[in-house]
Amino acid sequence: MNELFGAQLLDHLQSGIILLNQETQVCVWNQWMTRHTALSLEQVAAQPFAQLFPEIIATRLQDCIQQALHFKLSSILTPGLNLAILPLYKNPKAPTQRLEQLIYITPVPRYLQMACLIQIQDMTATVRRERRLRAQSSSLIATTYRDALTGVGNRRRFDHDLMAFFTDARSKQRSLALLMIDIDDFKAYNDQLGHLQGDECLTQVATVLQEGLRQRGDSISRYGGEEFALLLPDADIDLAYSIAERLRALIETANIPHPASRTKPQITISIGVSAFIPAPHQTMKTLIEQADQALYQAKDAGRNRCMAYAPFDAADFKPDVVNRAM
Amino acid sequence: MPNPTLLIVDDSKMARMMVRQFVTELRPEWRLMEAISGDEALALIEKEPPEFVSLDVNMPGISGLEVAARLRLHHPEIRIVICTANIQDAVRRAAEKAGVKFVAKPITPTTIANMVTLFEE
Amino acid sequence: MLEINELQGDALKELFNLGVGRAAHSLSMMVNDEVELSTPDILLVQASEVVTTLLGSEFSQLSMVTIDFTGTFNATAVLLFPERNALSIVSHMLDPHMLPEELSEFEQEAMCEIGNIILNACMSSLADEFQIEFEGGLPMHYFSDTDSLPLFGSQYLSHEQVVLLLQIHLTMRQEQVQGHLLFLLSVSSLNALLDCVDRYLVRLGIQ
Repeated sequence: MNELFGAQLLDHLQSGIILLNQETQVCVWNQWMTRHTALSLEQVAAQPFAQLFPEIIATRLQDCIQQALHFKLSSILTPGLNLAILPLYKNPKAPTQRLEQLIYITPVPRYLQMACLIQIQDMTATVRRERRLRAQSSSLIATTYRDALTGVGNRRRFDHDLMAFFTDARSKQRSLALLMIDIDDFKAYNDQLGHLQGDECLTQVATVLQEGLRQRGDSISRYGGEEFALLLPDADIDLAYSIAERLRALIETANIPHPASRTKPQITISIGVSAFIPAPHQTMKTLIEQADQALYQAKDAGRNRCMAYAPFDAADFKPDVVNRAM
Repeated sequence: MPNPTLLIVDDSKMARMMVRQFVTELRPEWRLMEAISGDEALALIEKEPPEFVSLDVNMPGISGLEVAARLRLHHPEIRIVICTANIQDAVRRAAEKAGVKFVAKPITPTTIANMVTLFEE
Repeated sequence: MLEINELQGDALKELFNLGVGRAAHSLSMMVNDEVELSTPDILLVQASEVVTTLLGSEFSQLSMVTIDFTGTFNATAVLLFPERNALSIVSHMLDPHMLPEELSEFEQEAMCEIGNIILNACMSSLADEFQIEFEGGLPMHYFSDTDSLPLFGSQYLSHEQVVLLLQIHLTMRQEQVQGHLLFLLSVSSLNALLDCVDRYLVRLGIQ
């Protein structure tokens, strides 16, 4: 195959081909490169690459070229990890967005010296399709994790987060807290005002709770019926209790009328709080059981209050659960 | 200063031998001690505090940066130079924050000459 | 025959640490955050024992990036992570909010590049310090289970092959993942490598 025919073949390729000599001067520059830079081989020939494209100075691309020329090492530069490095455009006369580039760099022996072959593929369409798919799948995932009525996380979200946070807390030996939140006398509310009003009430409570958590960035999930759950990574029982107490007060002051309540004329909630640094014998179930037990105690003690789970201590005959509000 | 003592802390035997050799060429009068971990270094320093400590960062057990931080607290008079292959800015910043100097591996006569200068300045 | 002495192992460990230190530097610039890489242990095993020695039941689905190096000695360098770890590394680099399930072909390329950075850095630190030359090919990426690791399939292996095995710890954005670096060598290449180590130690005057 003669050299001219070789060059013609290169010009037919649907990817960019550049060959740099030991001094990084351009020796080969195919049609694809001309098409996407508006620079012909005559214009670029014998120019050092970094002079042609000053934007490559001190980038990984420049490192890789040096590695190829001096250490004979090959490299790949992917569009995911590298911003579109070279100024290549679909229409370079009216440049808009740079092409997304997948670049291969390989050393090639030439005239007893090392040359560096750069191959560039246009990944723009692939990257765009990828982004669209990602956006779709994110919104799909968001939907499957959201409670359709209240807009907060659903039970699936909670189960997923619990698994992730618990594993993390166990491996890092950090505390994880759980709040179990239940609307007081909600059955009576539904019976008296109807299910539509009941749904409206659930949505309002969920919104107030979620708004109240905005600062820390925690997210609430609907655990079931009129019960909500909140996981607090890195929170010990005292911090979790104070957050619970703040949420309880927020709901009380939101003043959502509840004519059938035995507690107050407005909607109130009871909260059970558990927290621990997971020990080997403790599971996710332990965390839920302790919060449930504390919630039960809060209800039993008259509702509209928070209770923190405390392990039974036989030495000083403390009860199982401490009402810190008292 | 009478002949100072340098404690070389590195889990790599080769690294310790290299530091020892290059330091000896430059400062034959220095006394040299070695430790293969942060814990051993701290124990040695409690018994016999040296003037200078050269510290590797990545070692089994407590890291060199942590050893440096503890020494700053309990032995502020000891001069410390971190000697590591971990050349990131974040590590440099951590070293600066701990108030210690920094030389980048590989260990060569030049890096060790820099280290000696940092100890003596 | 199949042995590296303490000092040789120590020297190799130190040189690989130098390499991964440089790789961590490159990676940290790419993610704009601190990246820690270290290789605490080094081990020499028969190629046929790799799967059992290292992988066992610990993880079954693997992500591996391989590069062939030829020169003073020839080696196939392999960076190997449990698949989940590999996915979490890539998703951390691309988009911290992405779930591992969302990763696709596209991210395999990114894994390829990460492997490329780490393996090239290791080999160039050997080349630098030993004053020798290698030629390195393009990286390839595979997902595989341990039973069908293409590289360790019986057709590739002879008793003449050994593996230099290094643990690798990578910490990125507070998350720690563990993987392995493998260098698959023929016995004659291993001897060439050890010659380089010995000459290096002699040159430094410590052997």
